[in-house]
Amino acid sequence: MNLRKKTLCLVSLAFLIMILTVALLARELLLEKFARMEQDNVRENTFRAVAALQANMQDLGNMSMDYAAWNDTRDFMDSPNQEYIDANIDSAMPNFRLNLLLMLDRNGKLVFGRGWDLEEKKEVNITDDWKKYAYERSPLLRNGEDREPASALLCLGDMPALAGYYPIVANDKSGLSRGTLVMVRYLEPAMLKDLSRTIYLPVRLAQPDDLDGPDSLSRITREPTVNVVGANEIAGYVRVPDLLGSEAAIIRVQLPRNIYNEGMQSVLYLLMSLVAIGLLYIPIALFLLDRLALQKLQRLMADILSISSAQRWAARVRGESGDEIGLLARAINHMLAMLEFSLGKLRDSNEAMENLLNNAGQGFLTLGRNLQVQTQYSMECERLFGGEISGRKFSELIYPGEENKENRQFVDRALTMVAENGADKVRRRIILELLPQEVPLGSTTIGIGYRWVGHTRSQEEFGPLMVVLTDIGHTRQLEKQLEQEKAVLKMAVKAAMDPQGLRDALEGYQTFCREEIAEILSGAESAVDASSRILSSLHSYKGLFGQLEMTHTVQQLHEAETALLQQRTESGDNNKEALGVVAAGLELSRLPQRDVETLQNIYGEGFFHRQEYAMVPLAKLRAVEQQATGLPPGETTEALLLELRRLNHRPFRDLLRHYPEYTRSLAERLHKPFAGLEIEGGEFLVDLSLYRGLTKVLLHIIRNALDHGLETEQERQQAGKPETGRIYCRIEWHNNEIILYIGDDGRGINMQELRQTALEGGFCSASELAVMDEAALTGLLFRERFSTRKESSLLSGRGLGLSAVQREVGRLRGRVFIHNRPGRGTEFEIRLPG
Amino acid sequence: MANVMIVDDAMIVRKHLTTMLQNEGHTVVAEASHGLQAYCNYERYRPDVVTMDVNMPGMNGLETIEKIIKDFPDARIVVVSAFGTKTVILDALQRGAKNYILKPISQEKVAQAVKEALAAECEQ
Repeated sequence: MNLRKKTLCLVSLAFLIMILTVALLARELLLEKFARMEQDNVRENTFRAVAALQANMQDLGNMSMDYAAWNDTRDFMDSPNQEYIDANIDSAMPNFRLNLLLMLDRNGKLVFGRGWDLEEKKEVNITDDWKKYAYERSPLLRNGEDREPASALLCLGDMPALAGYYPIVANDKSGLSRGTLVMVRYLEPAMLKDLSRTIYLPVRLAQPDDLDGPDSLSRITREPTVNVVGANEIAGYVRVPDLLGSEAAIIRVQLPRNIYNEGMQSVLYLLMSLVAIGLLYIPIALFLLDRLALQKLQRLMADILSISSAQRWAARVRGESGDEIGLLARAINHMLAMLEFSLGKLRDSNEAMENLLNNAGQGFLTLGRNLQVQTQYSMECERLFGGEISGRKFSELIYPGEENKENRQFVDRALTMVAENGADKVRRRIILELLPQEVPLGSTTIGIGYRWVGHTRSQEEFGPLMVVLTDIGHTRQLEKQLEQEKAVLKMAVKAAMDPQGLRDALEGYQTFCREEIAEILSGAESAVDASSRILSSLHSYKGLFGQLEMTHTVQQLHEAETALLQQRTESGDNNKEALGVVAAGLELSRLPQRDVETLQNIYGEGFFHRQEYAMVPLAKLRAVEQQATGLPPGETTEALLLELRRLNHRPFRDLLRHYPEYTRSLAERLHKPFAGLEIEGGEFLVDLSLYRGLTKVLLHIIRNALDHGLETEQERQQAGKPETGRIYCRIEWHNNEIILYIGDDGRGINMQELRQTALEGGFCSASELAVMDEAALTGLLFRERFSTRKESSLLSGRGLGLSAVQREVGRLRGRVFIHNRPGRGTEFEIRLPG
Repeated sequence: MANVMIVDDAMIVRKHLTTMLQNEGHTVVAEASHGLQAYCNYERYRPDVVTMDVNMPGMNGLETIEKIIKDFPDARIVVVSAFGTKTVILDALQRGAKNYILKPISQEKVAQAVKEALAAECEQ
């Protein structure tokens, strides 16, 4: 309903209510007053009628006094005579309009009585109705001294009558009365008609059916009762009691309802004029309202609607003026101006914020509860993920590709748990900590931070979880470079400390590549055997180069090993040629190239050739020694031989001179608490060249001790051992025998695991296993590819190490034993002929 | 300080954890070496915090968490996981665990995890 219709309805309603109110008020107040006035008027008139009756009655009293206080009348009482009657009574009846005249003696006995019909003008008989007033001591019988005129109403039969009475005395009203004279005038219709004419009021005696009910007349009192007869008539009733008060006449006065009807008419005129005014005023008021307010409002509304729907905040509404609507238009225009200004400011600050975020060099985005990226994110995100990301699933962005399915599922699950988490901040943080903090993406690495921003007002655009992405690829690159540089430096230091060792290792390796591989290939019984021997050697060199910190070479050798192992698994057959092809393809001799070049860059080209001593091939030295042995014995010869031998002989422990440092760095990498390798003895001189191979393979034992033998710090604490583990190497010389004890104080060998591996690897049958003693069991450890490890590392686990030990010890015609002390460690005993 | 129950099948780990918890001023009111015992002891001792190993014979840690939480939703359980795989931790958290400790266990990790588990409860 629009304003116009509403106004019309409201005005009409208000008008109706007004009319009704006025009508009600007029009825309640005006008409009521008129009715009361009318009643008062009726009452007054009723009293007037009564007063007229009383006046009539008093006339009768005076008349009776005139007749009674007369000597003639007294005499008549003493001696009744016809003369008196003729002279006085006959004329009195019609003249005074009397219906009855009684002359009673002192005892109330009728002396003379005359009835008279006023209409017929003739004498009538007297009834006995008067006698009820003439009893002894009745007020009617005035035997006392009172000489005042008296009158009263008498009820004679059905007819009420007015009466005047006086004691019959002498003219001077003195002396004892002879009786009482009573003059009676009936309240006949004719008499009342006369009365009515006199007082201008229609008076009559009330009839029983004038009021409702036969008893109703008896309820009328001396106070007038007003009764509305019809629309135009109203009557007043009053009781006029008789002389004795036992009976009474009910007088009725009837009046026209002039006052009330006048009132009614006034009210009607008032209402009619109100309606007329309303009918004239309402259209005018509505017309004015429409012109002054409604049309203006409508135009204002149309303006506002068009501005807001088109969002033209620069536009303004029309109709600014001095009245309220004009002021409203002005206020709206002011508001629009403010809005325009604020929107401008907001746009500027949004742009500034966007600029800030887009140039922060970090990716900012928010995730909705659907785990998708919301619409607002910084530009860096697009750079990192290479395109628009709005609506994309976060887990798919950071973990693209089929291989990352589990990671994606994990991220989705964790994010869902975060989103569904209630107010528990700690739990939310715990889950957020589980999310990936760093992922590789394309060529770089991204650091990821998560912030819970929760239920913000702008959640339509910003999800509850904010993600901050940082490109840390460069940092990681720098770290890697630093690591490489450190490795190079370590290698360089090693090379500087022991250039000869380095040269020996490289030379040995090159010899292995150039000659030994070919020898192995031609000499081995089978491709499997050849492969094993090549792998064993490669493994040993890997250890040796590791000792020299040539990390790149070690990495390359590890890959070559993997390739050879794979070739053996795949081909499996006895194809030595295929093995040769693969081995050649690996270009084994070139593997140390990069590290060698690095060292040359540091120390110059001459590093690998610079020598303090002349380079003499070992074979040549041996040949010289051989020749010297053939010289004639003598002091000189002995001295020469000794000198020659000393050229080549060095203390046995020199073989192990790189071990302590290598072991320490290895322990660090494995996070094993380790005090350092203890080397005891081994001062005796030997031809070290014989034991170069041994140097390589002993490293496997130490590596095993570190990796398998020693427990973690925690385990050691729990086992009640000193926190740092111990590895020792004791070298003894007994009876022309070199004895090496290499051991640790670790957990020892798990025999159960050993048995299981032996079975699972098919190294022996269950029945064989049953009869094996501990020495036989530990002997299994020397079997090729026997390893209790499930995964290989750069350090150990391929089961190649210990088999190389045994092969080397065998080559030196020595023996090796394992002493297992469960919970207390493992000791290797190697016995070599001196 | 809190009353703690330790659930782990390895006696040595239980001993180790007991020492660490006692160093932090906590009281170890019960121990359990398998899931069922853990449930019974929880019902009997109502500890403030439970440390729960994941890998146990019989009812494993996750199942035990589920069973305890089902009957005692207010239980504060800290998972001790040797796996280090985040999925297991997430599983445990989803089943109602409050926090986790990754093996190898250290004094700081235990102190922090128990503190946080107690805090998590206070907030609810």
